[in-house]
Amino acid sequence: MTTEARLERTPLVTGHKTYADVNDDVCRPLESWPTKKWWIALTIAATVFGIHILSLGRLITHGIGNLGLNSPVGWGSDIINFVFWIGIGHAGTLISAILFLFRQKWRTSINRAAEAMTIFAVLTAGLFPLMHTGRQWLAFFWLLPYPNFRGPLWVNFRSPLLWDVFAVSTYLTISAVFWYVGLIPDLASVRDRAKNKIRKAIYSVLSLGWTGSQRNWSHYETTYLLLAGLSTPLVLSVHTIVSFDFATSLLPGWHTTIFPPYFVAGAIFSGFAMVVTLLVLCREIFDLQDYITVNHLENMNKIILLTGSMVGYAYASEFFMAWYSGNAYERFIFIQRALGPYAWSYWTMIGCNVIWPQLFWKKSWRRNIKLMFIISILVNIGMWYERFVIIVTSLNNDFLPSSWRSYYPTLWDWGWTFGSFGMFFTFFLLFCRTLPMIAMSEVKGVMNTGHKGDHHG
Amino acid sequence: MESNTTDTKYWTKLSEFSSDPTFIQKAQGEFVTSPLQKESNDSTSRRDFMKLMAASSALASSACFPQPFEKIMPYVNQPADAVNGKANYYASTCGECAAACGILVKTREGRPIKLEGNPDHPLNRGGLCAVGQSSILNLYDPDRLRNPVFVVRGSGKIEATDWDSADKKALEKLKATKSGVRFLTGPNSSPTRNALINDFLGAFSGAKHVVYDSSGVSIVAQGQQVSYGTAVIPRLRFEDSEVILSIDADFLGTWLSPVEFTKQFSKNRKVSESSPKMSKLICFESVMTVTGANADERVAIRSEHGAAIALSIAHELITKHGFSAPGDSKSIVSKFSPASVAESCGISADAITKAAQSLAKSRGKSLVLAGSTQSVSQNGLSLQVAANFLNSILGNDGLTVDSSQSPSQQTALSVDDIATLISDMKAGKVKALLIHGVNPAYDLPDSLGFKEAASKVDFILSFSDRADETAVLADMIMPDNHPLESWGDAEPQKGVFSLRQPTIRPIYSTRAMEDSLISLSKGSKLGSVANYHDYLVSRWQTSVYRQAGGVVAFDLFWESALRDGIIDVAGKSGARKRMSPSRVFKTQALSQVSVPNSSEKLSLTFYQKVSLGTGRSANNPWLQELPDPLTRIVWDNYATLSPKTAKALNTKEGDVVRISTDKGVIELPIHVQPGMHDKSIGVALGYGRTHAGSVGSGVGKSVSHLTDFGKAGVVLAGIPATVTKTGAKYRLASAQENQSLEGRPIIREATLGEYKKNPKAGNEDHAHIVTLWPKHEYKGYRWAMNIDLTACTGCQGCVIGCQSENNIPVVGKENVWRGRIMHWIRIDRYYSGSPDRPQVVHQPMLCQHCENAPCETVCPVLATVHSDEGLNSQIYNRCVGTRYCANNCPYKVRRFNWFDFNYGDQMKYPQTLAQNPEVSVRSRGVMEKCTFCVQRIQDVKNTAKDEGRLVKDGEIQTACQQSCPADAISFGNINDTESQVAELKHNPRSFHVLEELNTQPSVTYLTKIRNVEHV
Repeated sequence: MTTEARLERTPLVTGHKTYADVNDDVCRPLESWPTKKWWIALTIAATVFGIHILSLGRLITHGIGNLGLNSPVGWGSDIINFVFWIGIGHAGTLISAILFLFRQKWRTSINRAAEAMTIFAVLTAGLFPLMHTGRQWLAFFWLLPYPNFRGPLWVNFRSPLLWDVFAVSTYLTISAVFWYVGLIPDLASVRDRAKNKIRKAIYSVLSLGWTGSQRNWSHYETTYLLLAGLSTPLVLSVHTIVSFDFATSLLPGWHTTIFPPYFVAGAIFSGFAMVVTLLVLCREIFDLQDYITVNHLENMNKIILLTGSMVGYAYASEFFMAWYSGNAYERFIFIQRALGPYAWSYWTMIGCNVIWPQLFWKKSWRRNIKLMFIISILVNIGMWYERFVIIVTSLNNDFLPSSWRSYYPTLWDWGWTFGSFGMFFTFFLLFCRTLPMIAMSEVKGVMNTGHKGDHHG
Repeated sequence: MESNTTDTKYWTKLSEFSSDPTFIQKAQGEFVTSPLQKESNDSTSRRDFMKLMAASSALASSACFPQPFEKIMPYVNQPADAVNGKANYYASTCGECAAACGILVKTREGRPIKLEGNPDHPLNRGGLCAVGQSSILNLYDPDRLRNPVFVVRGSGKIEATDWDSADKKALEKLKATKSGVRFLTGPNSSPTRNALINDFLGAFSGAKHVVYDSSGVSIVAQGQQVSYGTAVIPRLRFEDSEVILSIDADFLGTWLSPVEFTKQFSKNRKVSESSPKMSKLICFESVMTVTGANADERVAIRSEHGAAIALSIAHELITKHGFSAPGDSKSIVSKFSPASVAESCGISADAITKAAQSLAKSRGKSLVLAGSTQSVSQNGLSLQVAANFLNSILGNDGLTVDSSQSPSQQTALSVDDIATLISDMKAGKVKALLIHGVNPAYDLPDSLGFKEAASKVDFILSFSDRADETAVLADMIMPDNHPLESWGDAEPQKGVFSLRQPTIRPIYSTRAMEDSLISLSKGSKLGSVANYHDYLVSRWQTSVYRQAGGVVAFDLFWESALRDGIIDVAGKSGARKRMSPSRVFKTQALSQVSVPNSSEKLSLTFYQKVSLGTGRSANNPWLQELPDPLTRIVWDNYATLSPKTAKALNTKEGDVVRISTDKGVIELPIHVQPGMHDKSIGVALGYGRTHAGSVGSGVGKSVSHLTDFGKAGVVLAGIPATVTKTGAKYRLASAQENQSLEGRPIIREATLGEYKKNPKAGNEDHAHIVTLWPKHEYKGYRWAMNIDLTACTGCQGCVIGCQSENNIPVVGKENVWRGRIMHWIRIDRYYSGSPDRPQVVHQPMLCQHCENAPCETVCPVLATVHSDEGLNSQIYNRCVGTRYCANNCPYKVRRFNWFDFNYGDQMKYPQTLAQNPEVSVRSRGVMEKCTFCVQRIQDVKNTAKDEGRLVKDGEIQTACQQSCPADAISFGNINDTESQVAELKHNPRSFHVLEELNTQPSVTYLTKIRNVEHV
């Protein structure tokens, strides 16, 4: 083996692809009639999305009482789903922005899909806090500070819920812009390949007159770098602020300073798990094994292992602090979590989030597609239950024992919980059919084309 | 890029080189870096475009909603006292039970909207119970009959008619039956009504007025008859009693006159440093009641053992404490040694000796009571006799027990009357039966066979306000008015005359029963009276006016009676304070009492709930949804079992059990009730109505097939029963699921002894906690409240007071089960100690109006804000319903409108007319909570402002405070250092709930003091 060969990195894209191959492979799903597999998937997703719409309609027309919420458990599936989906929405920007800044080239094959996932997840998430209010028709604009003649009457800048509004809307805006900017060169490629007039027209508009000129590229690169810089703090800030909803309250089990880092780690954890779930499916459905390689997935599994352990540490630390603080209310909550009526949810969370990801310590296991698919789904179940544990088991046993009460989700709770997956997957499936799933331009940049031993066979 | 020339040195494209003007134009616009630079002169600039965008989207999103257009119509003829927006109060008399409390009816624009106790009334003195206050809703009950009806015998189908045809037919029928007329009513303290009934019946030969009482009170009178020779219900002087022994007499909850008793009782439960003493309450109870919950010592017994226990206390008093035993009583009592009685009753002998010790110390200053429904076992009469015996040997008779000066006039009747009536009916002796105010087909034991007997009566006329279980057996219903639509009076105690006046014209085409009787007396003397009002006035002129001394002209007297609602002859003459002579106890009465045998069977006891009582107002949604003070369960009755018995049966809360007695079987869900005797089961009366109306029918289960008729009347307690588990589950809806305090310092309590040593006993030192927030400034008033946990009995009166004042909706059983009850004030109930002998504490919990309110910081839309008078205000219009405030409230007093509860199944028109126009009716999706009755504060402030003065202490009364019969709540301006609340705040007993959170509530509580040796 020569010195050159030893120094050579493992190729990020396998299968001896040329640039033309990349375009062909990535654009194929866009340019051919959808496959049967896609139709089946879309039908299922859209049906579940229908359940979501039905549930939302019911809540608007009949009242939020259709959910199983009560006093003291004023938040349940609504905020669980919100935090869950916002968490999912963390991986995309992290992959695109932070890994971009750190020059992690392996990100190129997965960042497009991950970002799309982020946006759809944030859209799905954003609907929950708006729809969970008692008067949804007012919440849409009363939560925004706008000039008015009522005093003027402003929003309450002390409320973490308001911070949420800003954090989430900013995150959504920046992520969407970032994603779209990254899409422009690829949209131009699709435009250029288009044979159909209408198709060409649509993609022409979308690609904003991209010519591929030096200037285009120079500005593109600068903008992309700037947006990456802008998005990076947001990855950390959004879930930090979401965690403030809980941390700044005075409820035992919520009122803890560990929440911001704990929530961010958890968000990245669940986000990466969701990316793994989706990419494993995509590379199978759309035959993209050469672009989304096992190496990519392994890298993500490493992050899952890391963040999962961080989350595990946070769980332990919370318990320790509950005991160490000497606060009787806090202690009670934590004992109840582990041993009380909702202990099943707590142990589901521990199992899925802390124990199963530990299998990734073994290299062959974290490269095993089937295993990682299962674990990624377990992690998402676990993270859903983490939010369940945090929200429900803190509210149901707070200060005055007279008010203690359990939360029994209704069919509508489950309806909009499952329905939200329908919304997410519907969007994602449509994305796969209409936009290049892999950042072609970026992948080309990290391909070893022209190198020795990598000739097109 | 101002260059227009072609002197570019380098070029990248040919087009650039050729200086094509279109290209140059495009190229200049391609990379505009400064926002100030215009892209082109002729097209819209980017900035303008943005402006237009913003403006048009703002326009599009701010759709204009027109306000609904409503007209305010002036009166055509303005009534003298009616000012729109101003409430008028009329003094009247509550018609819910024979206690006949004085009430003030608050009316707005001619509509009664709230009932409050009349502060001038000498008995209830401003207090009013939950049932009384909720009767406003009965006035607007949509299920009341709206006109007279004929009933088809057999099918019970009703056909509407008009008054003329109803009168005509009834007259025909009555004329045809010259003899065999019976008039059946409930216990009734109205002298004028009784007189009218007598006048009416006078026209028929052999007619009889039969009174029957379903609440078991008549046994008291019968006990007096046996013990002393006169059937009387004595007046009880709780104020003068240092030790009170109650054996199954729920005098704070449902017995006789609970508001009056609570008023008196609580007076001796107010502990202060200047007078560190309080009365001692000892209870022997077969079910857990409000009275037992307030007892210093409480012992769970089986109902039928009450008499033996009373006699064993007498045994102790006579043998150990040297009390003299009249006649041969000593030998009778000797059988009842504490040890033997305790053993057969399954209680500790210690409880008996201790009770005797306490009583022994208070000769002539103690009170022994017996008598609620739950005492009416086969031995019920014996228990009465034994209690009377105790009062006699303790020297209480004449002192704390007043049988002659101003005794209760509630009822004095024979328990056998009803049985005689039914046998007469069966024998065909009764030709016409008139029924008013009772529902025998529902609450008499089925074994008496009222329904069957009714079919043998030629003509039955019911005056029921609805087609209830009894009325559907009749031929005709002439619906009576609601008491708020009627004239009337009451004499609940001798010499206490309370007047009732109508405060609204009858809402439906109904007629007062008395007026109906006058109409049906055509041809006789009574028929010549124009109406009941005239009859009442003339009777007052001849009777009350004379008794009152008649110093002023009758017109003025009558006017003042109408204004005050009360003529207190007994108070003026001093009869209420005067001692009555002690009577001779007939010791032979004692011979009936026997030593109980211990039985393997359980003892089934029926009791009355504070809310539904005997089920008369079962169609009242407020009462159905009023949490029981102990179980806190709503919308159901159930079997209460002791924890040990429940465990022995392998049952848990909500498991359905089958209770079998000789008479029949009932299946009920169980409630595990600490403080029940292991051999006792309690089941509430008043449920399982079939013809109550849309709200009350089918709620819970009726028990009339299990009750029996014995020598002392209806047997409602101590019925031998066996219980088996069915395996079925039932969902009970409770307002409070957790029973225990979990060792949390939410309630601070001490014994009286500890308090005497240290007034701060049980109350932790208040730590000074720093806060980051700036303090609120209160320049004028700052409102605050104080609640005395020792005085509060947990009677739930305030809950209904608040509900009525603040338009609080009813949510229904399913939503209560979900945890969505809307009450702004709730009475938390906690148990401590052992499940056999639990100590109970009631803690009224309402918005604490915190200085550092956790709800205020988290609301994103500023819908809950701090007022400059210390109120935590909720702005319904602004609320979008995130529920974050409720989550962050450590007291969990915020209530969310999960649905449009105000337009739900439970509150139907015209019940909505009972709503208070001064309080917004909240819509779906908004949060609500206690406002400290801000509308009342504002009202008084306005008055004070008009008069150019400050609000006086005690001038503002919140609805809960006003209704509280125990005077446990004080409210006022804490900035005024002289005010009662300011004083109480600095009382050593005062504490904040969850003080360590530094929310700094405006509500302070006073420690619970118990008159016991050890907590």
